[in-house]
Amino acid sequence: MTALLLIALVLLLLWLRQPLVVILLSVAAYVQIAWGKGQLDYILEDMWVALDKELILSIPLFILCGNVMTLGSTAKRLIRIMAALTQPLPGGLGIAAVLSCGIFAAISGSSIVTMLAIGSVMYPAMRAAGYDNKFSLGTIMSGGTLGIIIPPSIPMIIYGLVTEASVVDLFTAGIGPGILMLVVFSVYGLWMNRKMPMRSFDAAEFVSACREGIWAALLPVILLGGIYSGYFTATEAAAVALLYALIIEIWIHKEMKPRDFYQVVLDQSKLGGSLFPVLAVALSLNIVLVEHRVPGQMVEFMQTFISSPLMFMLLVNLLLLIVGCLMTTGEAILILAPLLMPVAEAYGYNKVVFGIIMILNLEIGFLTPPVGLNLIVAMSAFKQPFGLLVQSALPYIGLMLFCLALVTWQPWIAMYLVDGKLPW
Amino acid sequence: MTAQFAPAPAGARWVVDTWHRLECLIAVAAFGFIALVLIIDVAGRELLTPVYRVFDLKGSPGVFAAQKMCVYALVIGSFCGVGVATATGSHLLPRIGFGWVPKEFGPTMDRIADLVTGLFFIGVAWFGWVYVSSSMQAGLRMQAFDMPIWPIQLAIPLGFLSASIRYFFFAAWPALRPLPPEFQE
Repeated sequence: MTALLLIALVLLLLWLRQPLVVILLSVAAYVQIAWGKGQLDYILEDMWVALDKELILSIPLFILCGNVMTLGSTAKRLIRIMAALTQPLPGGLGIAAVLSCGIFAAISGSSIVTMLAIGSVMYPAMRAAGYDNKFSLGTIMSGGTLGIIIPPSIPMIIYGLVTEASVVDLFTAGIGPGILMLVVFSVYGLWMNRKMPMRSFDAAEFVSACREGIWAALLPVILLGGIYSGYFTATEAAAVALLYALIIEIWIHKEMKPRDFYQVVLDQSKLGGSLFPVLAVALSLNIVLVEHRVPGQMVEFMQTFISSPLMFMLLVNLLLLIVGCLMTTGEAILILAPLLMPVAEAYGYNKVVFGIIMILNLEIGFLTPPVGLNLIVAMSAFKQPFGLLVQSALPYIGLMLFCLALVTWQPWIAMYLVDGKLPW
Repeated sequence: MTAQFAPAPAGARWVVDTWHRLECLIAVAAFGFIALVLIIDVAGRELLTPVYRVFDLKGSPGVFAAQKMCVYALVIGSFCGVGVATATGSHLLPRIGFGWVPKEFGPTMDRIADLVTGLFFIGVAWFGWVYVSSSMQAGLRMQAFDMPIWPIQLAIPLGFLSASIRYFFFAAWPALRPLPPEFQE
């Protein structure tokens, strides 16, 4: 009865159009009153404890770094290098778009930022070069989703915070699936544009593009190299990346003035104001749930119905794909990761692999209506009808489902760089 | 949606705008502080450590307790950001229930929603104050600094109180309500 009342409370709050922070706080309060000691100030104490973690500092820094790079000309310079490199291939510009998204994703931890930074340059260029409209839109929208699987990734940091999984391991595990998707998208682009005219490799253009873009191209190397070599923690790497981004955009590319930094920080503050309190409440709710053994009870409940780990994973994938259609990535991770991860562990899945599978599922959610954020943003950024965007995304959703199935079936694709183990 | 309502009084508009500017300044100062201190700390350690070694200097060239200071700044910036997010309509808002009410009642529902959120946040601010008072009475101190922690913790109830008052303004004068953002990541 008390559980039914909790569901009714959530539905009432959804009907009353309440923000996520109110819904989560209400659930935490309900749990405290119904099953705990009824001390509601404990929730605030747990929020304080939840925010008092140094790893959390990497989130504003990565967001700031992405914003600085977006304001400057990094994306254009990376695109020029990739376009010069891929021009001898049929459909080279499409492959350049995918690879540029992949490299920009290694700077930015966000899907939308990646799509806008690359798409604003690449979409008009692909149309002008005669590429099919649906192919161009699909490539840009799906390329943008790489922002959350190729590290650094803000959803991975959030997952690490709510499940206490190692963020460095999550970042490392994101590389394999990220490369897999880059390859799959590029092969698809090559096949779809096999009749497009090819151009010969222009060494002078490539050298000139590299000379102009070398500083931008070095950022992912410094950022990821620093983290994986163990030289920097994720937070330190984010600080170094931000410093580097500011130096190259202000003094080398000269695309940004120091006073522009105010606007960049203000944008981050808006995002921080909506994200961090929700993160704190979600983490405090997590503490309450663990205190009341809710994840343990969920494990027992699930194991009475599902005995096979494969069946469990298929059901979780289905659930996450549906959730991805209805919720944003942040909401889904904050709510579901603390509940699903212990169950996944009970079925023998490593928490890092499960995090990657969860993020791959939610990545597809960026392309599925009604809450497919890349579709919604592309609608206003590229001035295209929603229906056309959905149609353009369909082949890529198929390709992403293929990659998801492959990683679920062969988790070493994600874990090889973490533990160095192959199944054979 | 705001277009259907009468314009808000100039005084109310001035209050929310000035208040928003102040909150923006505090949030920007907090997040700017985090960026600056962490950059100085990491750059100091990486660049000056070899110099320290050469001259056989003692101590660390980084900023003392940099990450702890930044966590405190994050708490201040985040809870000040609750007001900034309220003023700019940036709160994460599940839209699943939006279709459960006929469209013509949408603006009225938004007004009720603002009132409910305002009342809820008042409650959160109260329990936040209870928590801060207990921390004050217990004499809890900051890690790494010998200073009381409660002035930092006070950001939590103040952030919710500020947001709740702003929601009451929106409920009273819906024209002040920001348009929801086109998308939220």
